[in-house]
Amino acid sequence: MDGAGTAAQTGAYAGHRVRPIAPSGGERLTQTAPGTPGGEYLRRYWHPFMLASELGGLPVAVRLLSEDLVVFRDRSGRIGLLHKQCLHRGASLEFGIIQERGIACCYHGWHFDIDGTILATPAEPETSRIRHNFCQGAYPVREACGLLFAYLGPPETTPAFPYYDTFSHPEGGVLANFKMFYPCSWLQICENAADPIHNAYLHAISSGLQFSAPFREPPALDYVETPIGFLSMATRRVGDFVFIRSSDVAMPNFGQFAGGSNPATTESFFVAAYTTRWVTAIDDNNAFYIGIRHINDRNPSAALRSADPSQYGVGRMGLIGQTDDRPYDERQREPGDYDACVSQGAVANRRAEHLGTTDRGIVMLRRMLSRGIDAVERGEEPEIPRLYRDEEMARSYCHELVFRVPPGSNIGDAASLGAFGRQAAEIVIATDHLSPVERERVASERIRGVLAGAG
Amino acid sequence: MTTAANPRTQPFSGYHNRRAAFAPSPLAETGAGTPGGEYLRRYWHPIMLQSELKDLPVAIRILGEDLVIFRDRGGRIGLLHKNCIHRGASLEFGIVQERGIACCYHGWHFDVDGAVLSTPAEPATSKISSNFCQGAYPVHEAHGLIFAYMGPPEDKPVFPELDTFAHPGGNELIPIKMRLPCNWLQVVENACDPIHNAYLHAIVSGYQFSPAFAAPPALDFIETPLGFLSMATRQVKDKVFIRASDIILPNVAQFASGQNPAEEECFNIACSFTRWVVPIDDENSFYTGLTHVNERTDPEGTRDPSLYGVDKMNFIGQTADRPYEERQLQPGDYDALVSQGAVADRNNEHLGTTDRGIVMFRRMLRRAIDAVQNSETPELPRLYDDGPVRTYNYELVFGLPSQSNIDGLGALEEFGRRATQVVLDTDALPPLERERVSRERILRLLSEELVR
Repeated sequence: MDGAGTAAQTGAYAGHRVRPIAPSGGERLTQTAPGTPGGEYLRRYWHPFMLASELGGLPVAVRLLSEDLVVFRDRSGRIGLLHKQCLHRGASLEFGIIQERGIACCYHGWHFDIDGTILATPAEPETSRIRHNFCQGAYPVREACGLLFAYLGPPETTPAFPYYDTFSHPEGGVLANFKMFYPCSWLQICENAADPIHNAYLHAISSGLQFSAPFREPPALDYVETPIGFLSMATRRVGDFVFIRSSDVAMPNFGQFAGGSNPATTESFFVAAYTTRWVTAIDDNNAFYIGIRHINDRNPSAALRSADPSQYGVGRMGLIGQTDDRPYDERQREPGDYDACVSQGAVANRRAEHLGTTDRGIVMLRRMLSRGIDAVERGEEPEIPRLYRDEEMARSYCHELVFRVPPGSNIGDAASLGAFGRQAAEIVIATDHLSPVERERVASERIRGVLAGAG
Repeated sequence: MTTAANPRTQPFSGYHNRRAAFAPSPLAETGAGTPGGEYLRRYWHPIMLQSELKDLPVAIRILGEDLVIFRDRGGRIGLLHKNCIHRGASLEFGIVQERGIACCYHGWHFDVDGAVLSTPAEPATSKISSNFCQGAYPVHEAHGLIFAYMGPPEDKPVFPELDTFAHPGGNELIPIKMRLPCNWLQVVENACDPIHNAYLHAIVSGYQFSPAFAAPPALDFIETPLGFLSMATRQVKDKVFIRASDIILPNVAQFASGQNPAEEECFNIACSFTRWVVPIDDENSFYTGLTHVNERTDPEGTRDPSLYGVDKMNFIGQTADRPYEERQLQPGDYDALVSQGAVADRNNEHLGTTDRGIVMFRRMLRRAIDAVQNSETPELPRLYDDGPVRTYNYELVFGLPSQSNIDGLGALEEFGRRATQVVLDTDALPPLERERVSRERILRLLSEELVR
């Protein structure tokens, strides 16, 4: 950048000159509607849209990827997800009458199966061809881990449901579900997870300790590609220990995290997640932060081993600052993720940003998403993550590590911490073919070997 | 010979008289980069009451820009663009520092003038703090209000301290601020329209003003160095009564109260209220200003300051906070102005002769906007560089001598015009001297010159 160009961006009381550039509108990355490049890309994956426990005896109107839908469980137990407006004259099927098989519109009784087939148009003459010539739009639903997932893309490219290795573990535990509403674009919430330095500021320095004290330490940051996206990593020296928190950022909107409460005072290592979450786009301006808390004895943080499953649900996820349900002045004094993400605007104005070196994860996320969007636009399948074809276990990479630094090692500066973190991540990636228990054992050994030779 | 009847004037001709499509007026624009918005950005505007700014930042929208205002722990006020330049988190969630404010998200630290003091998450070698800044605007605290200047720093005028703020002696100023869900210009136009005081405030809604306002006035609109005086001159029984309000471009006005019964003689070159109409954006504005409390406006000393403040100004009809039916039966300024629409549709108006003040204001505004577009300094009001700004608002009730020839609107208008000329001619004098000299000359006018 030349001198004149930079000079124009500075100066005392320069508000009049440096006003934010207006958003350009039509950003591919944040589009969610049918037919838009961003929306079509998102339509190549399964998205959780509600907790199974939310679906009772009545239909529920839901909005997903800018489409108005209705979900219901028919009296034989099958779940239907249909376009909300009856194709006859548009009455909403949220007022439909649930049938043994499917649902009937309240207005004129048109009766639809859960796949959208018209079973009957009772007000029409028997000779009517309507039920043969038309159907109500429908999407497949999959119930897993307490969540309802939908696939809104072309039927011919429907991928197998990606059942991640973290969803079940041989040693057991409890899965607790949560769903939080955010009045902003899904992308800025995903970007929050690709931005591990915010944990030091927002969650430790700015707002008091929302995370544990070690998060105040300046970390070495890294972003290591995986077959599903990348690991968003922070590696810290905390007293006699080295502490890695390495989160899955998987395309398009999937993430897995360790807790934020590890005090890093005793050794621990796990290749697993405390939180598995999707950021499901309701539309361009609204999203659900929805997923699973893994509560089990393997978690390195005592507080998370004993977490109370009843603390999770709709609007509840056991971490401060995830809703607007706090007094405004408390949110101002101790802002949380909700405040930081939502206050960027319904769709963050990315033309007005000034990214720094600690925003490399944001840039990597946007590039990966762009590649995925471009691929779908060309009529290809996105590469990362690939669309699973069989009911195979999908592998993930989230890990958390606290190892004592061996005597004589001087690992601690950003370069040595970063190098160690990257080698540890590469070991976790290289062992993804092993069973979970075996993978943890093998990876732990190898990483200890690296640490012994480091510094 | 017969002519075809004009279908637009026939009974039940609604079909032929449908409103033309709404055409937004460039005069009403407030946004950055628009001609109207850039003109407004050449002046200081009050944006909030000092009493509203406490220890937490406040998100505020002014001239279509989202801003955050805070007082740092060193006591200085910062007015910054709301969204952090880094990744756009709102600084309303920023952490106030000894010097400036730090964004909650990644700690970027800004001084009150927008300088990036540190980017703690970035490497020490980062050049961000020397290459960029957070947009900031200067503020000025005066008389319980916080004023902002959002124009080019090199064009920043000195803060215009009006002569009325200190006159008459012992004047206490009580700030108020009301939010109106409509464009600023229609609120300003209301003050350029003195005939509405007779209708809206006396004849239509009962006496919101004193009964004297029901008398038909002679109207006049006389240029001043600041804009013009919006005048109504009335004969009320054996008195002549002038109410002449300062219209100061772009958005300032001064008024006498509407409560004068015109029964006792009085003469004040002063006001009871100074107000600004500050655009929040094109469709919303603040009606904000200073109520003057002194021995003239409150001779009994009974004014209750708690009746003034945010969304309070102790005059009926200034808010939506009345039952809708009551607002329909006795509408006030709020109902008349806001019901013109978020931005009044000037494409469908039908202006009459009593709207001369509206037309004068729009012409002055147009000239000033054009001047800024031509990179000139607007002529009205000139930008002051010293001393109190002389203003012209005055109120007069004098007895009519028995031999007076003032009978009828024409004569009232002539008297009003000549009285105003006196007030204009004496503006170099100190306030009390000006009042004394003007009073003598106007009384002479009344007793010697305008007689049979």
